[in-house]
Amino acid sequence: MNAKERAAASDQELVALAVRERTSPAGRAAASELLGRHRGRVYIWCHRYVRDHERALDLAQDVLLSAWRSLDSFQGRSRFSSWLFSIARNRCLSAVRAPEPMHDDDSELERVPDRGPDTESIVVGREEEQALVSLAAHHLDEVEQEALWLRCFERLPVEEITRLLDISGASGARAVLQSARRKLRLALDRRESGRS
Amino acid sequence: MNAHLDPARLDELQAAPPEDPRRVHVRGCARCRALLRAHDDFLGDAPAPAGARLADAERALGAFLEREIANPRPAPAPARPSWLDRLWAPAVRPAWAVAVAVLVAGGALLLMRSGDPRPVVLRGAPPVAPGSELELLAPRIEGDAVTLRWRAAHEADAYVVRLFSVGLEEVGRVGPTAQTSILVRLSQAAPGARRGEPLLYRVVALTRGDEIGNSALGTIPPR
Repeated sequence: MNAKERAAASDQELVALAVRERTSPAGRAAASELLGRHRGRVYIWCHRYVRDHERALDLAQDVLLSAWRSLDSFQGRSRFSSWLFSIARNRCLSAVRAPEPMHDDDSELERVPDRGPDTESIVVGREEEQALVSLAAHHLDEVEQEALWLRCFERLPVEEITRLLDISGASGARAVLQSARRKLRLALDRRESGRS
Repeated sequence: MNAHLDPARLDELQAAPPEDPRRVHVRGCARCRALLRAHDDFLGDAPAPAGARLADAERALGAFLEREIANPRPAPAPARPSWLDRLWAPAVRPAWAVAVAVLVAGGALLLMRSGDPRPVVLRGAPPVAPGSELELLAPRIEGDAVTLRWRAAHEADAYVVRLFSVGLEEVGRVGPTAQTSILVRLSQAAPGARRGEPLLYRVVALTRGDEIGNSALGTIPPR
């Protein structure tokens, strides 16, 4: 496959060639073309999380290299770009999860359980998560729920949530998140007082 | 269905009918809706966020992919022996013995025929020492673009420039070129190099792909 044919090939065709001839120059060229097509969107996605050009570039390199190394595991049941999204998302979540806490005023949101490293905390976390999902579903409107999960599970910055949910208003998603937090706290307090 | 969606297979939902259990789940699960929204945003054409330098990033990532995947660096070649080592390599020693023997015999012949005016011609030439080190000329620097220059090496048909960090780690390579200068855009040629640190470079002269000479290390001041 020459350069022209590579440029015209579909993602799936390039994946097949890259996996079949992994170590040959043709296979490597196919992988380079494939990942090159998506490099811009990977960089933009990484930048949304770290908000710094150099860090986003490092992270994007990491994502692309990781995709190249695990290309064998791509089973073709979804689009290649969706598979790449899952890699980019995991890398970005790891990058913002450790080592520093998230910097905004929504410290209460940090108490929403996250998947921890040890089994016990995972079990406890899942129970709490289910309870919170249930509480949120009963007490928050759709936008508040979605904003909350974009912040807590997708770890997106508040500005990005404002854009994604198309929230108007001066304080954007921050106001929505604060409202969600207040409602959730109230619901949690009621639940606790009902238990005691 | 209570399980959340698999982030790697979200696009399957597009083809799924409304009554598909996954679609039903998404309607009631804010977390999966958020994930789906993030996925669609990744695949969409949303503008780059403020502060992002997409064109720079695309160039740097393109160079990165080219270097790491399409044309990975070959394993480092074993160090070339010095010209003195090569002259005294075991395979060459018999030739030296013959040359010395011929010289001794020739000298003896000269002494015996000292009255004879005819010159004595020795067949073959002594081994030629490699040429002197490739000479670098001062580079021309205009921001990210640097023109590296050097004097032509005897018998060289191409040159390659290797770029190193101050820790002598190779961070890029440009060429080959048949000219005695090359324009290097540092952000493309050495995207992994640290800003604010000088870069080092060495010009390698080649003949039919074989390395025949090296320059000393030159310095490109910090950007």
